[in-house]
Amino acid sequence: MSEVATPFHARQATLDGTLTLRALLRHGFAVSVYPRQVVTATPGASAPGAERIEPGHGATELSFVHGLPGTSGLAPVTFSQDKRMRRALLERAGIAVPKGATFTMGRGVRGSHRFAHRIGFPVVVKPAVGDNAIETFAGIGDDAALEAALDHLRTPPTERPGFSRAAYGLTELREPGEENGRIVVPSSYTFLVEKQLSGAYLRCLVIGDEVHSVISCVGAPGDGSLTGGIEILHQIHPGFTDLARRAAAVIDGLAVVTVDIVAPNPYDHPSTQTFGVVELSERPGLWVQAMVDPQLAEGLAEEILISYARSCGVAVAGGRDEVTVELEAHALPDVVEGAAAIESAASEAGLRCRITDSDRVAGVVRADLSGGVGPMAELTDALLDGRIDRQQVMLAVLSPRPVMR
Amino acid sequence: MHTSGPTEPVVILDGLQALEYRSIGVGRRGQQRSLTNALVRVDALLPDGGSVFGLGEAQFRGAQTGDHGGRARAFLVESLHRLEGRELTVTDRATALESIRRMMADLAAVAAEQDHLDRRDSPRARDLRGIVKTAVQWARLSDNVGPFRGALFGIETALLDVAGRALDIPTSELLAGAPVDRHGPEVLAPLRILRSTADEAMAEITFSLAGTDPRPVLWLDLDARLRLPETLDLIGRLGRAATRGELPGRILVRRAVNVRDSYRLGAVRRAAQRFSTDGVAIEIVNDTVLSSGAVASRRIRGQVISVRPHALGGLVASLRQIGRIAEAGGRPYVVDVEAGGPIAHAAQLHLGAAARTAVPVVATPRDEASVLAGPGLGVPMPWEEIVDSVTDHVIVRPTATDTPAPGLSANTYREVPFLQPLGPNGTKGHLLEREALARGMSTIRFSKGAFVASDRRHEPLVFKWSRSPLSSAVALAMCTHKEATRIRLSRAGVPVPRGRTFGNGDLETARAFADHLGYPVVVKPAMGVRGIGVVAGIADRTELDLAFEQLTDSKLGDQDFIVEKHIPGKDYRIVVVGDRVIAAILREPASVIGDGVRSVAELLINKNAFRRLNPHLWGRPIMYDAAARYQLERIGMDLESVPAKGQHILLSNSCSLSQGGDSTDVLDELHPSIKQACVAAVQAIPGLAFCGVDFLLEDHTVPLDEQESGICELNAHAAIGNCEYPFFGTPREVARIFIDECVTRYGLDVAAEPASEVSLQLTIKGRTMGTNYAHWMRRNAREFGLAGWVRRINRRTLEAVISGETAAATALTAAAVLGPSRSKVTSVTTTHVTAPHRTTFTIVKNAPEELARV
Repeated sequence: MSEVATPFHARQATLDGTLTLRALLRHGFAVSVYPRQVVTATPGASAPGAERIEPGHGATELSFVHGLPGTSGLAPVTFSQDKRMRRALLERAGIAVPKGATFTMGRGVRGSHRFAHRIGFPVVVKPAVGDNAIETFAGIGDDAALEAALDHLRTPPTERPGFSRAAYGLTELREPGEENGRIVVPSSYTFLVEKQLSGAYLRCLVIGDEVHSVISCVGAPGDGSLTGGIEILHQIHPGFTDLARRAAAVIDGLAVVTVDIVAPNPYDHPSTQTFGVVELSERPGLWVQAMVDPQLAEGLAEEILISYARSCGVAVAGGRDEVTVELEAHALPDVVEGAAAIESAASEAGLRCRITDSDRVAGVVRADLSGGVGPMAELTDALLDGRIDRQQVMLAVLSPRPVMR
Repeated sequence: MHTSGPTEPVVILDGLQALEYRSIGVGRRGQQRSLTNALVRVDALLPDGGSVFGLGEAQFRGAQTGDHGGRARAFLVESLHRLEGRELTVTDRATALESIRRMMADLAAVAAEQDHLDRRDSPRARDLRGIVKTAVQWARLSDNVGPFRGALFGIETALLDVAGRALDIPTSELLAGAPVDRHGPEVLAPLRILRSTADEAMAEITFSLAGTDPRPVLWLDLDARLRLPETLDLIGRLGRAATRGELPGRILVRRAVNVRDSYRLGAVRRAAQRFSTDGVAIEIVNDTVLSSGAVASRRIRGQVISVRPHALGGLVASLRQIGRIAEAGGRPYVVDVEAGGPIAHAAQLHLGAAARTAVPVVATPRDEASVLAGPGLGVPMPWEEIVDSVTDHVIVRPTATDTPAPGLSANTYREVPFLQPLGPNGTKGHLLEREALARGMSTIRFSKGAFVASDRRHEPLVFKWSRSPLSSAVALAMCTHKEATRIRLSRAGVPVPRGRTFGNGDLETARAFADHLGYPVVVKPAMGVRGIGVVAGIADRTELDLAFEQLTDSKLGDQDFIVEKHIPGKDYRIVVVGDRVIAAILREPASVIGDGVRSVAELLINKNAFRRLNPHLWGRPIMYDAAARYQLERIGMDLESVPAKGQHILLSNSCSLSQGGDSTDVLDELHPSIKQACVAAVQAIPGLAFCGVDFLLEDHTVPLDEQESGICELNAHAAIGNCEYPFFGTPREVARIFIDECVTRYGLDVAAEPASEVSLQLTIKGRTMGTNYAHWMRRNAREFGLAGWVRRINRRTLEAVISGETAAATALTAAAVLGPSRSKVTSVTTTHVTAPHRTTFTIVKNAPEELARV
């Protein structure tokens, strides 16, 4: 059975990458897609001045992972995934963050309870290191709720439902611990306890040094309570967009930053109220905008692409919602079954697909693929993720062709 | 024949060694903790021209043995030097004992003198904590152990062993002055309970005894954790459980209450007596080191009393104490220290057997069948147990050469002591900061691995381990997926091994693929690091299945995995920065080379001694593990075997430096075609600016097209220390070139050349109160030869000025974020200042001088 669709929590983690791929296809880029949403792209044959190139041969090549442009540095994304350091940098830049402290699971549990009492409930608990804006436990009102949250975090991350780790995240090599026969996180595993602020939850998307979107959320993205929101980029007080820009700049070397702010009144000057930056992520997190308006998310993915391409001096051709590409699927375990699975999945996704060649020795299938850029991006993601009849592809090359009639 | 007079035969102590090794105990929170023992070996020449050796075990346990930190080690080494060349009279038992007594009296005097000097230099009552400790000792509420008793115990045991072997009698017979019962004393296995409530303690006792053979006596060590009410509660429960037959009828309880309640020990004893009815006896062990006066007072009648050779300074004093206790009506038990080793255990058995009435020994049981037969202690060198745990080896009269192997000269680096406070991976998080500071940048460090560096004109650059802003997140994501890397490199025309990835558990397809590919093959995790789970040279299906098992059992066993063609080459790590190859090392499996004299064990320890002088390798010794045993068994050898001169003995099949592998610089010999391939590989990965290329090559000096080769991995956050500090060959300035690249790429405004000396002002924030942070910093600064001062600004902030050699000052700056064990530093901000007018490092209340920022 083909299964292109992904569960919701997985979709949160992968939508940025899928929308980026969609944007690249829409603007006629030739793309190479590797596992874990690594994409390289060069202007396609239809783009002005474009030429087909092999990797490492000198031409300007754009690259992405999970929708992050190649201009996001390795150390900067690592810093942004460490909440203690991130909070310290924000504080040093004079940007308000909620009262908070980190503790280790081995020695800090009692201290975290004492700290929660000192700063006052409700508090928020989250892992101190790792992907941002996930696994947040909000509205913790007493010791029992705090203990319940910590009990969840005692489970090793890879065993937790809905857990995801970015392809550039730190690999856990510490030995797990054991409590009464239960495998738990290492004793040095750290978590953050933070005062929960009250007010509107604002998700700001900063691309380059400009704020491109501010969603006033209903619920919060990190704790699973988000049910919707509204775009208030043009209504929010400029003091907050300025704050988001300054917060995004505390870690130099991030091409895209999302800054989450909690403030009682986003339409008033920040100086009149108590607010705080509660999250800062290196990822676009476009699933939040997609929940408000799918087209808004698609548009922002294109803005990220255009901003990045411009910074690299790469021209971006006009967009087409329907394209034709030649697909090369590499490293298929069985090219006959693989070709059939691709054809079937493409058809189910509303794409036109014609297998043109299959090379059994090399494990490569070639096909002409035509249709909407959105379904095409999703199909490619599914192929790389092994979600189509377990046909795990290790490289998909999509080269633009004139539109099939 | 050696004689001290016309008739007295003597043995000459001509070779003395101390092998300090780690022994694993249990910490206060149940975690593993590393404790230190030192095996003392004394080689002696016999009157007939033959030779014997004696063994002892020094045990360094702080207040329990009077041996504190580096002072104890220094005392041990000093004592061995004093014994070198001394003569031990071995006419008979009595003269041998007297001769040993005189030597030990000399050393005890040295110990007392040294202790006096140490106390003068570092008064213990310098703060409230110290005053309370001293008061508790004066009130005899805690052990008041003499200085360096653990070290003296080890030395004396070795001398007794020598004398016993020289006289061809067991040590017990030497001690007793007459033949002893060789069945030996009763050995009681202690049950150590590390809980602070009676509930938890009782649950653990029940759990620990479940399913074990019934024992007539239970020796419980409560580790002085329980407060008085909890102890009384536990004793009640023990009594009731014993009455019901659920626990042994006789229970001896050591360290029954917390030191704060130790003055109420009488109440605990009375409670124990109350529950000692109906065939049940609960007794509280008297655990203090009793003076002869206290023993003579006969207040100890009927009490169970622990006798600890490690606290009394040896077997002779312990035997004397046992005699006194028995005479006063007490019941002595010889008690081993936590995590004691095999030699101390043998010594205690001889002690127990030597007493007039055999005294039970409380220790973890070991194979002790032939120990009491002697001669001496009756135990050989315990190589198996200690060989890969040896952390230091001092040879007073060295017979070893000063190389790790004949004809090879290893690099040694003077900055090792500066880097040791940072731990085994210390170079990885420190070297870039060192270079940044040397070029005049200021830094903020948040953890052992993470810091930001700024020239104060541009945005600060961030670093975590060797993750830098130079490379992109995309580059890492691609490099950590081996299949993606292989495909990418292959399409770029770079040589890579053929292979493919399989889903976790898809072993059947993988087997078929390996058959199709042809053996030998390699199996490795799809997103591996540090060589974990990698098995190379798989020759057939049977070995393939073993490799699958090994991978599944590894830390990365839950990943997809790769099967690829094995390239029969050597393993090279080649470092590329930008478009330049800047370093290259050959990595070879752990091995030793014979000299025709020393055993495999001695060669291994000797090589590890050289590894400890390398900043990157000191925490990565050659291990005597299953792989090493396998390699030795393959060639019919063991640790005692003496390889022929020049014979190369492999101890591992992995080239990983973390598993004891050697590194040899080969940069200058690298063929240009290999360099070109490395640069091409790095350029094929988008955004990759710093990379460790793992290249399999048959010969690094010949062109690529004349050999079989393949790049098997690209490391986007490769370690820096392995090429900066190769074991053999020329060290390369990897960190310096890395920072040079940052300077060029970001147009930083810094000094053109690194400074050889710096003066740094540190602002240290975090929890440091009550942790002796300032003393910790002063001690390290003085040991590193640095000048400056440290002062407290407020509860959470300290300020320090550190001035001196760049390598030392910057290492202390990095270590400042770790601090002493109980501190929790959250950040260290470092800026450059003018050099202070000082020659030493002190603790001050106010800044002694204003220093301008530079």
